[in-house]
Amino acid sequence: MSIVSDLEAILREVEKPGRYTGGEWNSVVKDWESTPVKVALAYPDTYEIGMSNLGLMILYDILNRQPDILCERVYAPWLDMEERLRRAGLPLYSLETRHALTDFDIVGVSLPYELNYTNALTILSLGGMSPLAAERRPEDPLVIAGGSGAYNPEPMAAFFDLFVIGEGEEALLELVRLYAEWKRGAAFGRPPKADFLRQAARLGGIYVPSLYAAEYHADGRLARTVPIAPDVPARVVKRVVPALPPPPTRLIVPYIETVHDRAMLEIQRGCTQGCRFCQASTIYRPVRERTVDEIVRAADEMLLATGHEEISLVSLSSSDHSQIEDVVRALAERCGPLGVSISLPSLRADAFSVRLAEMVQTTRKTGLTFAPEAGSQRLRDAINKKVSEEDLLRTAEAAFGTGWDRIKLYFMVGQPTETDEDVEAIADLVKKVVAVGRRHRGGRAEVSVSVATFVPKPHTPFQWEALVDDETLRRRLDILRRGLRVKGVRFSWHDPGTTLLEAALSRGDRRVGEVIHRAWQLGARFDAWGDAYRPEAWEQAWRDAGLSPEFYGRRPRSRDEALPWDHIDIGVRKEFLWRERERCRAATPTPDCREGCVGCGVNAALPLAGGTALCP
Amino acid sequence: MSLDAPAVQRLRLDYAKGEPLRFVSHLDMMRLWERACRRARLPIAHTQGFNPRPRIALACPLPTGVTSRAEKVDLFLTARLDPREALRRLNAVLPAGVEVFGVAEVTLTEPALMSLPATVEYQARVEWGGPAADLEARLRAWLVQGSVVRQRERKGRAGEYDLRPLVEHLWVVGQTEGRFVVGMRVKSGPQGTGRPDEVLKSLGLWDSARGLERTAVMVG
Repeated sequence: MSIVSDLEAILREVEKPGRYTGGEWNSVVKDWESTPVKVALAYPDTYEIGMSNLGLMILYDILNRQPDILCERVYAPWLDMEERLRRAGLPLYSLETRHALTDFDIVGVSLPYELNYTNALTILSLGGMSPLAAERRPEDPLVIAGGSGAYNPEPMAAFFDLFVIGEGEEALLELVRLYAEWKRGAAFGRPPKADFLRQAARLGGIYVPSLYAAEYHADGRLARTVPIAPDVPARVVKRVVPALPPPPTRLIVPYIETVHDRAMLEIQRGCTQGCRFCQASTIYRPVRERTVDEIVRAADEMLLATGHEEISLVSLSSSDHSQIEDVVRALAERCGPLGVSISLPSLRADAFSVRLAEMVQTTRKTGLTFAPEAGSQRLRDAINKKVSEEDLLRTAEAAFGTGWDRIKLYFMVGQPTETDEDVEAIADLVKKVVAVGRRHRGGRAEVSVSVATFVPKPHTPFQWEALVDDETLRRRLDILRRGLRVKGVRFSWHDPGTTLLEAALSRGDRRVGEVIHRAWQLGARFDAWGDAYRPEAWEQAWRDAGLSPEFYGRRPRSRDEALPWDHIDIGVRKEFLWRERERCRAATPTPDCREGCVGCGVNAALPLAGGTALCP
Repeated sequence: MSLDAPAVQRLRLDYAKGEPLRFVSHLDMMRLWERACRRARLPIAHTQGFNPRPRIALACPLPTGVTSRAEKVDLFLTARLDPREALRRLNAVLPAGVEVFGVAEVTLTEPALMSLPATVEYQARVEWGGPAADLEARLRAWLVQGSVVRQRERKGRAGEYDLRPLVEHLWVVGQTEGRFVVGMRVKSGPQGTGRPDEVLKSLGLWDSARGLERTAVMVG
């Protein structure tokens, strides 16, 4: 039943009520009664963040194109809204038709980031069901998850019936169809949901945690994760689409301002650079590009369908698209007269990128952002970040020389093999960039330096490494504070105090699920938001479960240790990741795979025939 | 279409902001109009200078949480358009909840909608246990007060102001769905703006008030 109750009185008392009302242009409202298959897609963060997620938009578009399927959206309610809904005895509802989550056949939750895991539990619980899969009633919806967090599904295994591993464009639709078929059969004498789950596990790219068991050594390390039912794959291979399907163009246009309040057009998926710290670099392989024609056509449709004043070319490394200059030129010609601006995130630090930025810039030259990630050449070689000091200084020369006043640089500290000297080198490098700026722009030149702590992630060459310890981190922060007290430099260090938690959740095993559940019961919500983070809830949750975040976050793993995500196959071989780790130790870079195959294994492991993947 | 072209025509639209947009703020409405005009491919003029903005102007800001039957927006165009054609193109790309019901051409030199003092009427449904006469007495008693001091926060600082001179009249409109409908006429503009929720709060009627709607805007 739709929520007909008195929402007005609740909405006028909460912060940003526009988060909870829907009705946006291009949102799809289908007839509830006559559409047989009902899917809710949930994003475990605020509306403003969730609406900026392209993945959810893609799946919403695909599902709603099917005449027999409706797909509606749900975002995590902010603390005030959760409290008011609970007090009023109202469930969390979908934005399109205001139905409770339990009215849907399938609830899909995106897992983009470890620090919003607790919000996923809020969504399920407030939606009217137990967050624990084992405690849900037979009539409750099928609850599934996907997104980058699903690549290590174990910490969240207790909360979901299944995970979609990899790209959802084909897999989700196959899964929904299978479920609809099973449900029709179930109408004549209900076969148990376990039947459906066993079928789903054979679809490919579907991980059903209840069909696997995790075994541990006496010292607490994982021994192995094994299937406990026949016909269940020992390893779940991620799904990829051999060629990117046409992008969604009827994007939902929000009323309230969102984080990325612009048209998003994915020009390329995957990245060939091979930075060793980067999870996106491995899990989204192989690289697939969209053609210039396809991009231009989609941009035209998108601008007409949304009326957005800005279009963003989404990719992990825009400068790497083989036709990027043609793309940018064609779009600039169209967008200029319409008063639409183009944004190019993720530019490589080189003069070519400055020329691209120049092409999209109309009147204002606000700032350019680059990510050298490390200060010394040795460390950049070790993490395989392909930027030299010469590149960066030439980039600065080009940027300041053509009228930009501000450059933003991203760095990380706490990376494997890093020394104090490497961190001192950050300050030296920044000073050289400032000097270039002052020569061109005088006192107006500004370099903002943003530093984050490196967190090791699954499926990367650094998955075996320990998170940096607090004392080293503090010392290196001091080095930066002292070294960057320079006119024209703005230094910001983001330390929300959640780094260890992120590190522990990211490489956690199944037992960590108990910690997440307990912390959520104790009030943990929006852990990535400084004003909501409750460290004491987490401390108690770890204690109650008899586990420690240090065990997961700060402990280096040996080569032969079983990892909780070993049964999730991303196509990149574990041996390749280990080899990359060894090359890090030797500070040996590995070339961009556009220059020649580096042997990661993706082309052999995944069905890419007939597609547009750069590695055939 | 060029961003530098001067405005040659100004259209004033009358529109309603309905229930789905109750919680869309004034600033958000501004963005909604900009995007709708782009979807409709209307030749909107832009301000000159460093950061060109579409020349779209709304009348007295509608508080968040209030619907309206009486909103106005001015669009400045760089090419002449049959006003009915503009209306047709806009209504095709406006979300459910915004409906343009009138369009007129006004001179380019007419003062901005925002700059003019206005009188604004609102209505809300309230619960009231007793007879209409008692409710009317409550409204009259409110009106005879010399001042009604209310708190407000401006730029993070708490302050006091007098709501009474901003309210011209209060009355009972009638009864509907077992509730009374209260009407109010308040001032809006540079000299001060009477907030309808504040009026209802100071009357002790806010908790049960629903469906707050702006029903009329009289400019000048």
